[in-house]
This record gives sequence, C-alpha cells and structure tokens, in this order.
Amino acid sequence: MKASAFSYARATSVANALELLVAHGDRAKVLSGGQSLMPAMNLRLISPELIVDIGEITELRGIAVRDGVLSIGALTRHVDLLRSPEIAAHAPLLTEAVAHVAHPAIRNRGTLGGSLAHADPASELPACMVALNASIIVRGQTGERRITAGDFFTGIYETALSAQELLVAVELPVAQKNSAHFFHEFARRHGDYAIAGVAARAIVQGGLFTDLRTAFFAVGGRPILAKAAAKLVNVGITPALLSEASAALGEELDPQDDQQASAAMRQHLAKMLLARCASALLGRPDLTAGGPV
Amino acid sequence: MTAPMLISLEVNGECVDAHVLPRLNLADFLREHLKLTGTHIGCEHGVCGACTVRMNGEIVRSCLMLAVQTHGASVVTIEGLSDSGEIADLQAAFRDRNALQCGFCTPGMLVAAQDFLKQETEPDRERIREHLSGNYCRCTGYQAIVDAVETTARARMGRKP
Amino acid sequence: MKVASTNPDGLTVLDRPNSYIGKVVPRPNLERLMQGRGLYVSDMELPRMAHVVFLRSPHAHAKIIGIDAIEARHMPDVIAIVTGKELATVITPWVGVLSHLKGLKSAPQHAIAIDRVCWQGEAVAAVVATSRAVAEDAAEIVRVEYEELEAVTDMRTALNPETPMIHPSLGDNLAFERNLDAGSVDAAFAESDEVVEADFIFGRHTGVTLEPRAVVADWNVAEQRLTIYQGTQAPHMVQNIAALHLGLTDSQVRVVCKDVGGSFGIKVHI
Repeated sequence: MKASAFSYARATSVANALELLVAHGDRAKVLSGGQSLMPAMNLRLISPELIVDIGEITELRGIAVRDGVLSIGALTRHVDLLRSPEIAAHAPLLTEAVAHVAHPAIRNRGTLGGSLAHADPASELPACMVALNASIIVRGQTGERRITAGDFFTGIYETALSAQELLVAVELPVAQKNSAHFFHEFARRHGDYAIAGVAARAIVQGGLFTDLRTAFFAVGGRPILAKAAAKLVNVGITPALLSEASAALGEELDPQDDQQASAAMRQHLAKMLLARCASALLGRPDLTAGGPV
Repeated sequence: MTAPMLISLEVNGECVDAHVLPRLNLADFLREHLKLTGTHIGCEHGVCGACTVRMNGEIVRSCLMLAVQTHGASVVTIEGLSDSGEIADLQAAFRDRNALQCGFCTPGMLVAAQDFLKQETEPDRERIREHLSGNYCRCTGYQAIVDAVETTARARMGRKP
Repeated sequence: MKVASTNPDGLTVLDRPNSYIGKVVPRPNLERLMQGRGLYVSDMELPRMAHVVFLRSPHAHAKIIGIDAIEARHMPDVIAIVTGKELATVITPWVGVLSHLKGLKSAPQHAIAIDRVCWQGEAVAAVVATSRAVAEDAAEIVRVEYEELEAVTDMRTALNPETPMIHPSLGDNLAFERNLDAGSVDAAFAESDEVVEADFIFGRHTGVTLEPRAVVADWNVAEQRLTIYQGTQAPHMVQNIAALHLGLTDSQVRVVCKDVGGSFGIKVHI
C-alpha cells in the first residue's frame, strides 16, 4: 500500500532530533536506514505523524578504535560494517554476521543503530552485540546513558530506549588475543529471517574455553545469552558434557511456535548450533559426529 | 509539514526539480512524476527487488526510499543504465541466454547484476546468486540469469588489459 | 530425430533457409523489456485517470448490516464510494463455471457483495479517488457493520447435513466432483504383494506473479465506447464478458493487452 500521510523533518544534529522527538512524543518516528520502518509504513502497520530523518547527522557516522575500545556510530550501514578493516580486525564476528543480513540493496541503506533500536527477535546484530558484551550509547536531552547490550533488548521490538532518546553509538572492547568467534543461522533461503541462530564469542586457550558467550536469536522475544554455555568453560569437553549443556540449553529456552517452525524444532536447532559452535571453535569434529547435527 | 517539499536531484544525468509530498516514495516519484516506468513495483515493501535502482553509485530499494531523502542525490534507473551503453554486453547475454520471460523483474535484475559485475570480477556462480538473492524472478527459475551474468563476467575479464 | 538425407552434400530439410525447426530464435520483444521500456498495464496512465481501491470483508461469512461512507466521501480528492447495490444498476452478476468441467456449480456473483459476503476478502465497497494513496486513506475511514455468520471452511465436513449451506439455490455445498475409475482397482490392490497408503495434505495453490493484477478501464461516454487495458491471458473473453454484463455490444468494447508481468494461468479468468 501507499504510506499514510506524514510530515517530514531532516534533523540537523542530535540535539535537533531530540527536540523534535520530545515535542512530538510517540507520534514521531526516527528514520535511519528505513529498511524496517518503510516496509511497516508501506503495509500501513504504523502511521506516524512525523518522520525525523537522522540520515544527515555526521556525528553519528564513523568507526574508530581508541584505547582498546571500538566505537561504531549509529548511522554505520551494514555494508560499511562488511567492508571495514577495523571491524574485520577488532570485531570479526560482525563482519561474518552482517553478510547474513538480508540482501545487498538492504545492506546499502540499513544501519546498525536502526537494527538495534528496531530489535527484531530474528535479526543478527542484536545477538552479536550481546555476544560481544557491547555497550549501547543512548542520548536524551538530559544527557547520555550507557546500556549493556544484555539489558538493552527487552522484548519483541522492545528496547530500553525511550521515545525521547536517540541511539547514537555502540562501543565494544576490541577482540583479545585467543579470541574466536562463531556465527550460524538457519534460514530457508539466504537472506530470509532466521529460524534459529547463534552469535558467539569465545576465548580459547590450550584447547579449552576460558570464556564462552553464546547469544541465541530467533528463539525467543530477544537475544538470549545462554547460561548453559557456562558448563563448557574451563573444562575438557566430552560428548557427555556437551549433552548435559545441550539439555540445560533446552530448559533455558522457551521458543515460539509459528508458521516458520515449531517450538520443538527451534529447540532442536538451538542445540545443534551449540554443538556446532563448540566443535568449530575448538577444532573438535568429534563433537558433532554421530548425532543429528 | 505535510505540504509538498522542494527537492533537487540528478536522474540519469538530468537535473530534476520537483515539489513532492513527504509520503511519496522514490519508486513512485520516478514512475509517476518522471514517467520512468522501467523501475517496477512488485511488493511495495522491499522484498522483491523489482524497484532496484542505483543511488550515488549503490543499489537501493526505491520503494523504501522517500523522494525527499534523495535531495542532492544522483539516481540512475534502468533507462539511464541502458541508454548509456553501460550494460550493453549484459543485455546481449540476457538475450542470447533468454534470461527473461515476462520481463517484470528484469530491470531490477539488470541493475543488481551490473552492481555485482562492478564489484566482483570473478564469475563465481555462488557469489552471483548471493548478490541477486534479493531479486525475485517468477518465470525463469534463475538458471539462465546466472548463466548470463557469469558469461558477461568472463567476457569482461577477458577484455581487461 | 534422424532425417535421412538423399542429398550428396548431406543437407536435410532442417537446413532450409526459412525453416525454424531446430533453430534458436531470439524473441523480438526482449529489447524493450531489457531497456525498461516494457508496456505493462501497471505503468499506464491516462489523462485524469482515477484509482480504485476495494474495501474487503475480513469475515468469511457475514451479513452486511450497513456501510457508513459519509466522512470518506467528503475527503478531498475522493471521487466516489460505490457499494454493491449501486454497482448492480450497471453490471449484472455472473456465474463462474468452466465449460470443460461439466457439472461445476457456482452461484451468481455480484461485482461487489450485496447484503452478504461469502469469502474473506470479498469486496464490499469500491473507493475511487485521484490517487491510490488517497483512496487507501479514504478506505480506512469507511465503517462497515457486519453480522458474522457461521463460516464453512473445511472441505471434509462441507457436505455434512449439519454444515450450513452457503448457497441454498445450489442445493448443497458441492461445487464439483470428478470420479476416475479405470481398470479394476480393488482387484489390483487385493492381488498386490504390498499396498502402501499415505495421506497428502496440500495447501491451496495459485500462480504468484511479480506484476500484480492490473486493469485500466476507459469509458468514453461521448462515443459510448469502453476500452479496457488489462494484463490478461484471454483478451477476447474479457471483451465478451464485459460486453455481456455491462449491457454493451461487442463492438463497443475493446480490450488491449500488451506486456504482462507473469500470469501462469491466474490472469486467464475475468
């Protein structure tokens, strides 16, 4: 359909954008890349009265590394993440994950800030931020807040961002020595919404995990950092132990039934993802051999 | 202000000034205001790829862009891409391989394929399919399209000094 | 296929200069399609052309108690809101059967539902405006009051006596039945070493074209002539049926069909 009528304002700065959001409250919507907002408007699922276009705010662009911290501006497009040498060097999980986001034309416009603020449960980047323990930087008229990724995503299309705040940047520690990453998602076709997926960051030393963060997505209302992964840390992993961790993961997850997959199927896929993750990161093909993985 | 706004942009090398409503998307602007109907609308919500155009050198979904966002931009549609001769070899390959039937997806497909050919010179079929994964075709089954893009990539590689 | 050659040069009838058999012949319309110069109905614009959007029933079976379009009619750039009753004064209902499926039953269908809707999505009003966007805006504020009736949506129980009959004039809910009984099937099963049985459940199938359905109709009141531009597989049928139901002669109706963005059988019916 054609979108309902609305007013349009091109924000000149973050302060200007915030003024407009405060003045119009929930009758205004922020336009970043537009790759999720515009479809919703073209389907008339939402009809904002004012669109605040933040696309020209230069302050929100840029990828920089300083003092061991990688800082990514909210307007960084998916294609920018894909091509960035800084991201490849310091957060290679993102380089791999963003290749799974939709299609080239979408990646040329879609932004990191937009993806995180939209918080689609099946999307890749929120899970990556949780796995990387990123801080989401948010600004309101009263100042800036830093919200840990794990606390930022609160539900389906719900975040800790208030209607009068703007997501301005993401910060995460650069990849350490011995750091490894794993990403996989199951989808019907390349670029489709994931049926189940995992974004993982680990520290591997002497064939053991000394740290393992596995953020599962599309298996609930928000990315889930599996507590079950703790069973695999600082211990030699046997198929029996993996089985235990797998069972614990199943207890932790409460996925939805929908047209794409049943809850049982999502649970099964999540367990497979855990096994593949452990197997790939430790170079242990025996962990996925023999079972239905 | 829901009133019309003034935009100035370049379309296929031509300077365009227009007053448009904020709600008008780029695809409708191109088709209805500029009568460039080669850019097609298949889904209006960004999944089918029929509306793909090139903006500032990169492919975008014109149905997901507002015309008011293109102020100051340079847009190239299938008509511009075709008339400049930039994709003459790709079009010839499509013809020889019969890589279109109804032709509705074809403009978007050609714009996306040319985007692939400009970025990657190796004719890798997997990479071609990945790059075209956002363009639906309901008629051909894609095989002939991939063949035509691969053939063109190979020919262009051969032409490089 | 081998064609014997009696010619000393080894040439056969397939080598005749005017023979298309075995030759690859590029289609003549590819150029315009590849240049973005296709002639699809979706791309057409006639001077002062209006756009129509249909308001559709969300219910599978319901009585239409009332349609309140007063506010919508007064919106700027809205030309008309037309209900089934009003439209019935210019178009007669049709019966959708196929002559090659003998026994197919169907009740007369109005162009727009009158008093009752029988399927989810059946049109209850047409909203005409100067643009599709405005027509969609107006459609959002048309208020329709429905009284929901029991819906019949399961083929397996449709013929049970307690299932409501949707079209009493047809006698039952059976649209069409075909029995294929060739050979002695029972005997064949009885004599087999192994009989394998399975249930297959399919969803409904349809062709899904990239170009949506598109039609432009131009009634020239001065000349009493109707020109229909449609993406269709059967322009002559469209002409016949339009003339028949609109009370026109065939010679008053012209159907033009140029490029079609996919049909796969679904754009072959009216």
